[in-house]
Amino acid sequence: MGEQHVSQRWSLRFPAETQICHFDGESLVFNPLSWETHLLNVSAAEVVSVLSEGPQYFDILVGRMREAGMNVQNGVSVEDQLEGLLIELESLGIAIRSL
Amino acid sequence: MRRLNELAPDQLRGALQAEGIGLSLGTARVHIRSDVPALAPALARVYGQFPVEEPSGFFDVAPRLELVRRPGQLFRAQLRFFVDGEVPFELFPGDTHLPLLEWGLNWCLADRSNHKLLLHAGVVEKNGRAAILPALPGSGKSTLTAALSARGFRLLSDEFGVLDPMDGTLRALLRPIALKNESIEVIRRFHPDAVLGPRFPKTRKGDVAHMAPDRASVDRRDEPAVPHVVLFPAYEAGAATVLEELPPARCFAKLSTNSFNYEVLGPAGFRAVTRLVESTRGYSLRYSTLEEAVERVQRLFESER
Repeated sequence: MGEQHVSQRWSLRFPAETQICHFDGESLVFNPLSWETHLLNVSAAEVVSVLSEGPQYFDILVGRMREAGMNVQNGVSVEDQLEGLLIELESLGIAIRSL
Repeated sequence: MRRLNELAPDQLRGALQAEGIGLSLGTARVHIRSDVPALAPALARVYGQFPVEEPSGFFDVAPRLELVRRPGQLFRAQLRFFVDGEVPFELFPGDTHLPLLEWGLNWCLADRSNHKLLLHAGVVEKNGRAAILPALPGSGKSTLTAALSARGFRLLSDEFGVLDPMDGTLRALLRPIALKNESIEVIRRFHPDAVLGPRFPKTRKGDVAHMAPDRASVDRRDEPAVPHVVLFPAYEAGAATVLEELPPARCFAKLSTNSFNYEVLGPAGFRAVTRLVESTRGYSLRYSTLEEAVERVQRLFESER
């Protein structure tokens, strides 16, 4: 994980318009930028849910994800997993970062 | 108000050529005009139970079907579908009047009904609860919808499942069921009393015949229905009948891909499908025997009372 990520703040690009629904361990999110619907895994859905509460610093997000059960997977740290998820959500136009 | 099949043949032909015929399909009204003589008896057969509306006021779609004779082709007339001053399709063979009218109506209604979520689905109802049958072409949707309607389910639609995003209810967009190829004889055998229109051979979609909605369905076309189950039918020759519950997220994905305007509606479409999935159970229904498929659906309605 790059050191700069610790101070980065993440938020939903369009918080009021981003909708998420949860069904038996699977989640769907409505992307207000593309008007597409994305199927999210548990971790990505948790990230979107936490961001829907408001902008979050990266280290706070790491803590929230640990609380939600995210742990080291195949030698990949929670920070790196989270960074990957956030970059993916950013590329979809769902999440956005600011310093 | 007189029903379409109560008009004398000459009267219907004359009205189609002059002021036109207005029909209320439930959630949409159409106004049809045509100078094609053979269209009148076909309409009387498959729209026979529909009351004839005054040909004035607002209509969602007002098409005109015209005969076109080109020089040197006096005996091979073609058909033109004309709507709102435009001709959206190429000319069709002269003997495909009803299929062209129905496809043209599909095209117009799909384009103009974005205040509702339109699913490519049959919808039938019993005791106020509806089964939605979304499917891709060739999956046996129309055949199963026709069969359920023949076994006491009220028909709301075959082509368009119309969901009101405001209250989550289903609305009728009632029209004849377009049966294709082998399905025509399958339904004739399954329900010998079915009122079928003329058979149109070798159209762009193969042989086509339309099954008329029954009178009770026509008379109740303004009554909404509450979604109860979503069934994705899949006809497969020789297959055993298998009904399997689908995970809700999978049901959501299949519903959204079977919708004509899910992405057009954006957040309203997402909310409507979410509500639909939360309030129903979704199943896949693989079948080869119509009787067994109908029985499974009937049992599903009985077991989930």
